[in-house]
Amino acid sequence: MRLIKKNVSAKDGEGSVVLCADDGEDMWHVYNLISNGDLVKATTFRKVVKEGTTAVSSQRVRLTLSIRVEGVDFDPEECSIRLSGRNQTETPHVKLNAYHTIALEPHRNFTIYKTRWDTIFLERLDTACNPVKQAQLAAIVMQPGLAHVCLITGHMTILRAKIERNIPKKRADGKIHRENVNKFFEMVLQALLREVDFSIVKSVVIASPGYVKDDFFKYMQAEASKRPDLKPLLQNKERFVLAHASSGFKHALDQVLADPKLQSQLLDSQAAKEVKVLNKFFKMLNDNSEMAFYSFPHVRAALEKGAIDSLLITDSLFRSSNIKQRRQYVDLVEAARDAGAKVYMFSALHTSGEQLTQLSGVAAILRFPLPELDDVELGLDPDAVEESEEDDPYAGIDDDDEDDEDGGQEISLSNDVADRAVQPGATLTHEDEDAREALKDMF
Amino acid sequence: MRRINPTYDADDLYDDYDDEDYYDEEYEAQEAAMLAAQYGSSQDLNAQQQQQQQQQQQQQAPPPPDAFPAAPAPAPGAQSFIISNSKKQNKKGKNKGKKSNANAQHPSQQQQQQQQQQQQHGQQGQSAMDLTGKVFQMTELLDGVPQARIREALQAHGGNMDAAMSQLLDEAHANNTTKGTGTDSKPAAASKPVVLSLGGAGKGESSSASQTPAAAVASAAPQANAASAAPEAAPAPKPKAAPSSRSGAGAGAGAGTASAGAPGPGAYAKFVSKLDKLKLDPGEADEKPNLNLVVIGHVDAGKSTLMGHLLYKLKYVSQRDMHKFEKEAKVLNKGSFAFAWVLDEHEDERERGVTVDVGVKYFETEHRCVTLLDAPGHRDFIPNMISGAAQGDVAILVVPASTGEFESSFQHNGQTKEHAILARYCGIRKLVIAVNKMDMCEWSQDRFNEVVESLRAFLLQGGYAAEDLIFVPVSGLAGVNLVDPLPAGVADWYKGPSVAQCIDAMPPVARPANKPLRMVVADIFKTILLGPITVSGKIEAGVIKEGESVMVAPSMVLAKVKGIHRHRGKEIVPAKYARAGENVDVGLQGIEDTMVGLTSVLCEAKFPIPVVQYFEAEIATFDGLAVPLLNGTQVQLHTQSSQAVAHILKLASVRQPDGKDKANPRFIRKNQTARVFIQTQDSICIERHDDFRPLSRILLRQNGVTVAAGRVLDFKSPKKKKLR
Repeated sequence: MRLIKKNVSAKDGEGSVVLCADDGEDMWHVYNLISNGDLVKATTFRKVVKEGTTAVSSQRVRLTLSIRVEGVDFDPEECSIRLSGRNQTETPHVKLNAYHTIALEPHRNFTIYKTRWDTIFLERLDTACNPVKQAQLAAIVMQPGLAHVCLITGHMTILRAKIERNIPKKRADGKIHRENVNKFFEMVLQALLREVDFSIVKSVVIASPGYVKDDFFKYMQAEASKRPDLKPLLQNKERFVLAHASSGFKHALDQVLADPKLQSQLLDSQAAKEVKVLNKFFKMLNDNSEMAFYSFPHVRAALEKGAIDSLLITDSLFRSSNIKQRRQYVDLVEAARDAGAKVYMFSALHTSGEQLTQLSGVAAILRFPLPELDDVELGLDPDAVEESEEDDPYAGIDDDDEDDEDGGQEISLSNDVADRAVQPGATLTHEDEDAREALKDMF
Repeated sequence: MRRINPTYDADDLYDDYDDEDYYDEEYEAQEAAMLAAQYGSSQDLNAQQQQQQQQQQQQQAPPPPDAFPAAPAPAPGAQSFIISNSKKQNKKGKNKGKKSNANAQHPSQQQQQQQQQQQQHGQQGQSAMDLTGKVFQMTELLDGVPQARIREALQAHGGNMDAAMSQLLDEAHANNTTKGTGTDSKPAAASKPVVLSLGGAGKGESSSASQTPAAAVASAAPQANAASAAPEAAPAPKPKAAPSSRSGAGAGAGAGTASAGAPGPGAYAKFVSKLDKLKLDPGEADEKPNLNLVVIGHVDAGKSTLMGHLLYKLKYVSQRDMHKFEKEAKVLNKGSFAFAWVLDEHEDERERGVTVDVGVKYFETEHRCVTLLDAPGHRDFIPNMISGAAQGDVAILVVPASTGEFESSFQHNGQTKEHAILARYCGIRKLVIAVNKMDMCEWSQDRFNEVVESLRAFLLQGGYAAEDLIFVPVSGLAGVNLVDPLPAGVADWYKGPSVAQCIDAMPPVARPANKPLRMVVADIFKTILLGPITVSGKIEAGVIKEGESVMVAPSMVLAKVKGIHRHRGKEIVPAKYARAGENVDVGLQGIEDTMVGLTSVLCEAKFPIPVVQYFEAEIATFDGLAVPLLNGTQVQLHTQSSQAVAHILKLASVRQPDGKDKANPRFIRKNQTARVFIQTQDSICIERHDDFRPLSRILLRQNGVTVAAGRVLDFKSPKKKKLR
């Protein structure tokens, strides 16, 4: 990303920056920079309807608008950002305070104005504008009948293709199985050709349990020598690396990234570093549970005691639309830094970041054990109450639940859940009472 | 739970729902009558004891004439008691710091002391909830004992679990007295007479089968599967009566649950068994009982070779084929793998000498119709092995006896342990341990005993019962002791049966054929006769009929059964229907191939399997858990043949060493028992443990290691409660 102009007051952090994004990863950074309430000025198009005396004509007009952001959407596959908000620029085409949606485009300047650029934003800006680009890595994790083709950049792991195919098990006639396996390999091969640009990608890791990777590589070579459309694969043969993974699911990537054999290829990769730190946290939790904590209340308590050695935190926490809540996390990071702790910012797009996000998004490795914290009940964390619907990890489930109950009444499928939804009291088993008791204790 | 909207017309399916109200009344009346007859005085201890006595008398009665001649069924009730005993001991043993306890029948002194301590503990904090929890716990341990009985026993002992347990164990002991002497020859089903008596309490056996839905209805109640002890289809004089007597056993269990102050009918109470409607083939009565046999063990233990040689000896492989295999194997410089080629049919498996996929073969012994599932041993293919083990009724664990090989297969990284434990958690109880490669250690009795002792100690700890383990010295490559007994002069110290004799003597397994259809799809392929979408797998419950519509979960589309193929040895036999326990090929019509996969379950259109995205489960963590489980830990969830990405939504509670549950733990370590909420990325098909046990089992894996096993308790989210 190119920083065109930076005008941020050192005193209170108010000001604006002008940026120009170059690629998808830059877009990811921008997504993490823009929050609700910011003013963003960018070029955009708007369909303007002109009503003449005889006919109505509409025209696409190019405009430069600034909007007060009310919503930010990021599409990881396209790496595009859509900002929606109210127009703040006076133009003949768009009314003031009318809603408008801007799609940010690469290679076009735009301006972000914030009332406060805090450390997290400024750091992100620095990272984003660092001209040393990390090489891209492509990875295919596969198992019979399932493959994921991913691109790994410094701050993102993007799933480019997921391939699923039923492969018949072995029978007396192995031909059908072989045919299906080849078809499956062909699908993976096509995805590889389509998604991997060898001018950017440094190496391609093929990982799988068992022999699938070898079989696939063999198939690829055999086909590449036969077919001209596969020439790029043949030319870049030495960029392929085979590795072991326990399954073909996306999270098996973590294992690949932690593989010591691949460290030379992955050197300096942000993703590999994150995996290492997270594994260190897990190990500490296993070996000495009083020296590793997760969830905001616990980590904050540990911080107050000055015990934090490393703080692990996902960037998704800073995208919270709730400013107060975001502030909490920023304070946490700043306080931890002041106390001399190492802070690791995880990208929520990497598999390790995904995992950390599921573990409440924040974790800490301590300098010394804090056994008293162990007994502190997680309880109702004040945070969770404040959390907006969007960030609530259980929100989606809750909705489902309601659907479920509704569904139960309407369709009355005779499975147990539906039955129970209809008459809760009547069909409770004592395990239910059990669970209910347990749950009562829980909350 | 997210329910996928069925794409069929719902009204159409639930048409005859109204009719069933009529059944309901009848059913309730009957249930009440049954309750009165059996458990009406459930608080009255005398009555209970009387009943127990009655049962015991019945059990001591001579085996019914229709019992299986060569391989009479064992006393399933008794066995489950013993399993639980050893299991309980093991748990304690672990707590106390590894105590080996080979003797499953007599709890040690120390444990009794511990029991007393617990008793004091228990009496202090006695509450209804405690009791319920204990009943629950014990139900799991005492597989197949009605919950009501456990509850009564518990009440009688003032909530002391161990005292109650020992009472129930005494009963088991009483059952045991009827047992024969040999390991493999056991007298007929102990609880069959009980079944009859229960049936008598109702309306009389045959009438309840043909006229009233009540028996079938009640059989859907929780314990039916395990409690139904009557052996399936042992060539009984009245084939139609066999299933109904099973449902009688289920009725007992169901009624028991009800008398315990709980709920009444389970999820499938409204299901009316289709068995009676079916016109069974006239030859059905002569059919041999079905047995699904899975072969497990460490990589290179010789599983495929052993089974390949067995098939050859049983003449399921022609001399010509065998000669071909030998010749080709020699070309690849893998002469010793020739027999394995019978099962390893793929070129790449043959070239590498490693089984990758589960090999399925069918053969018959004198009394059994066997579906052989040859599981891969390599650690990378454990998901395949799980799929195989989930289909199995019994297992052969192949262990190499040769020097060094046994040790490496049995160490931490060896698959012997993991396979045995996984099989146990997939519901397999009976294990034939084939101590293979005996020819490589000159049939030494010392070596055999050494292997047996270290395995036995481990397996007992892993939840197997002592008398469910049969150790057989064999040589798979040389083909010794596979079919014919050992020739004189080889190992005269061994007097037991050969592998084939063990298989033949396996007791028939009770099949819940009177429950709604559940067939787990293990493979999808194309056949000329059955069409482009042919699925194969084991029918876990119910009956599948040609021409009928079945629901394909989780995509929830209806498909028509085009045809059913049974395997009889090398033959493929078209069939009009197939029922629980059989491993069949089914052709499906009217769906796309994307709608069915390895996650699919074929089920009764009106009683589909629950399709959920989150559930509450009780799990036990294993040694393999390198990193504690946290709120949010990502895991791979294995159920039957399917794999799914899941994460732990919430750790609800964890069992402390003192037996109490700690709510809201921060993490779960290895070898702990806990309750957790799990959410899956995609919807999965699963049952609650109370509804149908085999499909409620889950295994959690991380980074290629099995970290926990468990069972689904309920479909609930933690938040729902939080709001109220």
